[in-house]
This record gives sequence, C-alpha cells and structure tokens, in this order.
Amino acid sequence: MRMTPNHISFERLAEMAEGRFTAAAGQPETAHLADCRRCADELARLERTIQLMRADTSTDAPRDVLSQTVQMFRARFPRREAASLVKRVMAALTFDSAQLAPAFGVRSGAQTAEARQLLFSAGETDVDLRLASGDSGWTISGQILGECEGGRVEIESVAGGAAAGGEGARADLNELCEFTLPPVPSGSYKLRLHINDMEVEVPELQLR
Amino acid sequence: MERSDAELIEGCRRGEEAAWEALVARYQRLIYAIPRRAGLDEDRAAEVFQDVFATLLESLSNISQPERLQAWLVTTAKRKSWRLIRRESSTRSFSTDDETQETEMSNLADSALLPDEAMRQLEEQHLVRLSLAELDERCRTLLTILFYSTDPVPYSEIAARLGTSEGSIGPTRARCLRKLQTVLQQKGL
Repeated sequence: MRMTPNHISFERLAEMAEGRFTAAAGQPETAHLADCRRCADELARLERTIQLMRADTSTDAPRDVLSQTVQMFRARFPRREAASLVKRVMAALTFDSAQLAPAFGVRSGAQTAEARQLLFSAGETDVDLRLASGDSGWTISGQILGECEGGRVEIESVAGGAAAGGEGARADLNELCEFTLPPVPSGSYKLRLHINDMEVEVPELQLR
Repeated sequence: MERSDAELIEGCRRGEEAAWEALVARYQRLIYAIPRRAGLDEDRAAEVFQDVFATLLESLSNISQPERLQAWLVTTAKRKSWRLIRRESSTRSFSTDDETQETEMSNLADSALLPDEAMRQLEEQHLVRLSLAELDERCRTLLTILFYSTDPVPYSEIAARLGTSEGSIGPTRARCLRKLQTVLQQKGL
C-alpha cells in the first residue's frame, strides 16, 4: 500500500479502522500516527463511525404503529379543512348562440359550421365558451370574464371514460385568462375551471 | 434537497400531511429505540412512541426552536419511557403513595436505564443513518452490507450484489467511507 509523502492514505486508515490492518511496532504507519495529529484524528473519527454502525441494533417502529402515527395527523388536520377552502360553484347557462333564431338571409347550416358560443355565469365570474367541430373532433376554447389571476381548465367525459387520450384533457389559462383544450370526440362532457380559490363546474356539455 | 426540521414543522403547522410523514420517517427509528433501550418491550415502546408524536402534534404551535426538534423529541421520549417504567414499577410494588420511593425510582430509571452515554450513542447512530441515506445507492448498499450486517458477508457475495469485482471493493469502501465522513462532518459529528 502506497502512502502519500506525508500522510497515511485514507484507504489504509479505513483498513486500520476496520481492523483489517494493524500497524505493528516498527512499521512506518505506527511511527507516523504517533507524530501526526491529523492522521490520528482521522483514524479516530473513522473508528468511531464504524463502531457506531456496527453497534447499531435499532429497528424500525412496527408498521402498524407508524401508520397510526401518520393517521394522528389526519385526525388533527382533517383533509376537509383544506378542501373547504375551495369554493365549488355550479355555472348557469345565460346565453347559447345555438338557441338564436337564424337571422334573415342566413342559412341555419352556415351557423352550425361556425363556433357555437355559450355564456355561463358563476357568481361574479362569467365564462365564455366557444365550441367548434373539425376533422380531429371538437375544440373547446374560451375566456374567463371577471376577476381572474390564472388557473386551469379540465374536461372529463360524463360517461366515465376520459376524454382526449384516455386521461382527460386540461389546459392552463393564459395571461388573458383564455384557454384552448385539445380536441375531443363527440360526446357528453363536464368542464371544470379552477380559478382563484374557486372551482366552477359547467354542467353537461353535449358535443354532437 | 432534504427539508430541514424547521421547514417540516412549518409545513405541519400549515396542515401538510407530507411534512408530518417526513418527520415521522426521519425520527421513527431513534424515538422507538429510546424506550427499547430503556428495557421496555415492543408494546410498551409503541405506547411511548405514539405518545411522543401525539405530544409533538399538540405542541406544534408552541415549539419555539424547531431547529432543536431532535433534542425535544429525545427528551420527551426519555421522560415518557421512565414515567411508564415508574408507573409499572409502582403498581407492582404497591407503594404508589410513597412519593420518595417514586422519585428515587425515576432517578434510577433515568440514569441507569438511559445513561447519557447510551443516549449520545443513539443520537450519533441516528446521525450516521441520516448521513448514509444521503449517499448514492452504491455506497449506501456497500456500507450497509459491510457495517450493519449481523454476520460478515463474503466479498464474493458483496461483489455479486454490487455487480463489480472483489478487487474493487476495497477502494470503493474507502471512497464511500470518505463520503460518509464528509456528510457527518457537515452534520457536526
């Protein structure tokens, strides 16, 4: 084993601390340790660490005890407290462009090809939705009207199956509180908007 | 990056269950070891353990020095252990009214069953385990096999488990021990 010019190598010190190598009288390590405080301290620290690990007979607390201890917290801070901070509001439909009688001279067919506009009201917040069908399915876009500091929108198939790729679709609101969801196939959907401390639910949307 | 005790306490105060779970995970072994070291059986040790964490939960808003949480937990576990020992001993000796005897017994339990040196060793072992957990997986595995196994594990088996040669175990062991020493030094040991 090579030693550094002035000190015993860490590897050798580790062997000594583990008891794999004992420096006998007359060996260079013995003489060095007697004179070098740094190496002697390093050896003592290593010996202490190894002794602590070898003497550690502690065990984990039983799993059921740990589980009960974690549950104590739920009893003290019930989850519903956090949930209650979010206000859930059901949005009411106030306007639907599909309900309008076709204007004079405008064919009804032309209107359905354009985006359908829906306006929902939820307290002091209004939601402007645009539904447009295309080759890849229905695209829902919209904007939050009223106080809004960002948030996100989620859509979920009412039939229980998730929309758009099997896991539901979601989109974040941009700085103008607008959003565009990835296209979804025809069907019935529920839309949830998470804005401020409020969750606004838009009841069943029929995309056909 | 591991959250400090103070950050976890703050998280608990805000109702974060994950912060509580992290605190329990961090200290469970140390706190369970204290009543066991005092000679209590598994059921009694579990009683002390839950009592300590229940007290912590109730005291969350009153802990003024969250950075000294470990000392608080250790002292609480120690007191609850010898109180339980005292209570059971008193019941057995039919002398619950004898205040002097109770005091003597508690002092005896405190100093004889949980001497300062044993407590210091438990806390240092806790620190070593925490430091070990911060090392990379290879070092963690190697040092655990080498120093926490009850029976010596042959080098051939260690090499197989690490997917390395027997010859590289020595240098790897030294490298891992050096890393462990560095972390321990940062933690004040």
